Amino acid sequence: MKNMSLQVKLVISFVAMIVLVFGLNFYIYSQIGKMISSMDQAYESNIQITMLQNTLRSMQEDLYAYLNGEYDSLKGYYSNRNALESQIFELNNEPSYNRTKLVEKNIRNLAETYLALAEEAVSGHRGTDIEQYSSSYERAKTVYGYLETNIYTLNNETFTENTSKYEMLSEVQKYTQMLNMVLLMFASLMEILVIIYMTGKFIGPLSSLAERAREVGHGKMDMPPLEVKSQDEVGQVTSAFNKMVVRLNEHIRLQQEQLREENRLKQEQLQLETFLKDSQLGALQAQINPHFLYNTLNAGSQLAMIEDAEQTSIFLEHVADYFRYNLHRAGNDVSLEEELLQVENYIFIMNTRFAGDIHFEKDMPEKLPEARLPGMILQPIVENAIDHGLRVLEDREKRLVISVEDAGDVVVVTVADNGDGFPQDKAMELLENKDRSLHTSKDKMHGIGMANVISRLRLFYDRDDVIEIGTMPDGTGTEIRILIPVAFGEKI
Amino acid sequence: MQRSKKSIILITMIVVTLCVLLGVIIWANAAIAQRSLTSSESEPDYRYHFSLVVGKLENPYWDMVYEGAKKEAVEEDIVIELTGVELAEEYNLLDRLKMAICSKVDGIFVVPDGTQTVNDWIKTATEKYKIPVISIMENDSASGRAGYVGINSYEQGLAYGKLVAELYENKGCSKVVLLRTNTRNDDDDSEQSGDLIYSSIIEYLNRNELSDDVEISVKHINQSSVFNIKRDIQLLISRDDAPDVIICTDYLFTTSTCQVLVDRNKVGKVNVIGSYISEDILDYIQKGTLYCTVAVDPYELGRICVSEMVELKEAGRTNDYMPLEMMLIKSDNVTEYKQKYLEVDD
Repeated sequence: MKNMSLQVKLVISFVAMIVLVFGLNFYIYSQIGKMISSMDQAYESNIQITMLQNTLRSMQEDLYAYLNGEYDSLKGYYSNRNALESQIFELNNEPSYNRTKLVEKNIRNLAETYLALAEEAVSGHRGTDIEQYSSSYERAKTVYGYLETNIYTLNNETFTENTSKYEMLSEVQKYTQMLNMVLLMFASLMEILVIIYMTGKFIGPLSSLAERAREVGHGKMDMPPLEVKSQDEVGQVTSAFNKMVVRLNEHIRLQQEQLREENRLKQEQLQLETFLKDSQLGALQAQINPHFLYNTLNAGSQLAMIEDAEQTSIFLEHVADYFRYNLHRAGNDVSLEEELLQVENYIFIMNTRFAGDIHFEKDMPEKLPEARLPGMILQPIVENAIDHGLRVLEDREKRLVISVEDAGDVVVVTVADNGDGFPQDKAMELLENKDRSLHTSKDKMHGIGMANVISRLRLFYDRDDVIEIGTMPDGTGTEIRILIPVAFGEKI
Repeated sequence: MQRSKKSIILITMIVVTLCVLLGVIIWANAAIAQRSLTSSESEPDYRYHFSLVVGKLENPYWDMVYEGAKKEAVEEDIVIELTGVELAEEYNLLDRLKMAICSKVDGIFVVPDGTQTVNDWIKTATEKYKIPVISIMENDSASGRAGYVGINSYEQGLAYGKLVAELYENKGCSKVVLLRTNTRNDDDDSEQSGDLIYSSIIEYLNRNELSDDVEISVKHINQSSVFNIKRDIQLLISRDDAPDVIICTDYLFTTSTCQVLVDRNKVGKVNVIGSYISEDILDYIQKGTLYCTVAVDPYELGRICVSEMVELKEAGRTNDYMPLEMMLIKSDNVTEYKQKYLEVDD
């Protein structure tokens, strides 16, 4: 039933109703038919008895007429005899305590005796044996009298019986009419109940579906799925609706996630740009007009060369390179070589400024590995090492070592100084702060600060383990290791 | 949940309505069938159809005999019919006997009236129609009946004689008239030869040396109608030499004599010795109108008749003579018999 289509269900329901109504009407009509037939037959037995009586009388008259010389009556006699024989054959011949049946049996046997005696009389008459036929006729007449009485009695009794039967049938008829009304009432009640039930069955799921569709339309998506009670069209629609709601929810969830991801990416891009701008701003703050300055410096370098002031010329050339790099590379990703050259320029300038007391060493392979990194990364670290590590040293040589090591999947660039060392708590704070958006105004107090560098590296490589802060192998100073993923460089 | 509850209620209502509908149809069919088929109760297959042919159907004694016979017959799967009863026309004994014979019944019990015609028809039944006939109460071995069940007439006569002697001794009654059925249609009361009852009364009186003191005569009365009987009895008791004891050997004689005595205010003056048993007769005894009645237990009579006939049908033989025990019912034991018969009769 559950797998049937709506059409089949409706057809079955209507056919069942029609069959019920038809069956009931058939039953009622058959009852009425039986009743009419019974009432028609109520006096049938009286009619038959009267016919028997008439046949008997006619036969007796014909017998009498024949014996009195009316030979034409013989034909009538035999005709009536045959009729009587067949009529008495219909009568009961079994003993019974039912009065009517017993009288029927007696009539049948009396009639047989009468027929035998009548035949004896006819035979006697043919044989002209007057004594025999008159004796037989007299006896036949006596039995005829008994027959008449018995038939009359039977007719009376049957009539009385039939009358009471007729009265009973009339009573039953009234009773049947009432009963039929009751049956029709019950059948109608049942049909109404079945219609209510069936329409409820069909319309119920549709109403639920409509209600749910309205709720979904109002944006109420977090509802449990509708129960699928059948596999008919409504069931299929309900099932499809449930699937649709699930997919809609999934789609909305994906949309939201995508949106969140896009927002995050946009935010990160914004941060990167902001950091770059910060870096540039920091650089630009140090030089009012870089182009003017570096052109001027170039002019100063040439002038110094002309005046044979070679040291000054070299110095000015380094300064000019330093600013050129700032101007052209600061917003882009650069090669490791370019970045290292810039650091060298910076150290040269700083050594010139501070009377060459920073001992700078490079430890790198002959062929530098291919690695890309955001511009202006090493310079702030070196600047930080000089400003906070080396400048304050009075008692010993100020050493700054930059090494490059190809460690397979990463290129490790190490900036080490033998200063007082990086405060451990500050190092931890910098490294553990995974918020790539962190760049405080405090950093700016030291130019392009370490936090800025770390955030930019993390954003650029989209990973957290980009930098390590420690001490040199002898346990003094500061060693900052930058881990540049080779795959990233290759990809670029 | 709400919906499924509603569905359950609806389904329950539908099922209940369907059950009621089916119940009403089944009940209605059964009720109609019961009302329509009351007349067609199934009956067993009865083996025989016997006929009881008695002289006067208005004698309630024969109703009791019929009841006793029917009870036995039903147990033996036999139908017994009291022939002539409830017919549109009233027939005499001879016609009823003829009717039973022409109806080809399997056996006839007849109470012969002693006439030759009846005896001839008994012979015709047995010889021509091969219907066995057992005579009841009135025995005539010459009739060709296969057997007899009833009172031994000799014993009956002795019983009457004993009662006459009692009345003579107690009340000095000496004029006795014996009422007998007139079977010859004449008024000759002198012929008593062959009347075993009369001769045994005489024998009892002689044996007790009362024949000189008690005068006994026979009065034949035509049984054609109750009015004739009453008229003859009235004439008898109005005579100068009216009897002080009347012996009635027949039911109608007994009840008619009692009625006439009551009507004529002769109760106590004429003593009646009756025959048979019925509610009327027992009432007359209780009231003192009837001195005594000589009777046979009607139920036992009916029962023995049927068992004798069954034996005759199935074994081909039966007792030629089956005397039954006589009961003498008087005022001192009438209550006992009233209780026995009238309660059973109810």
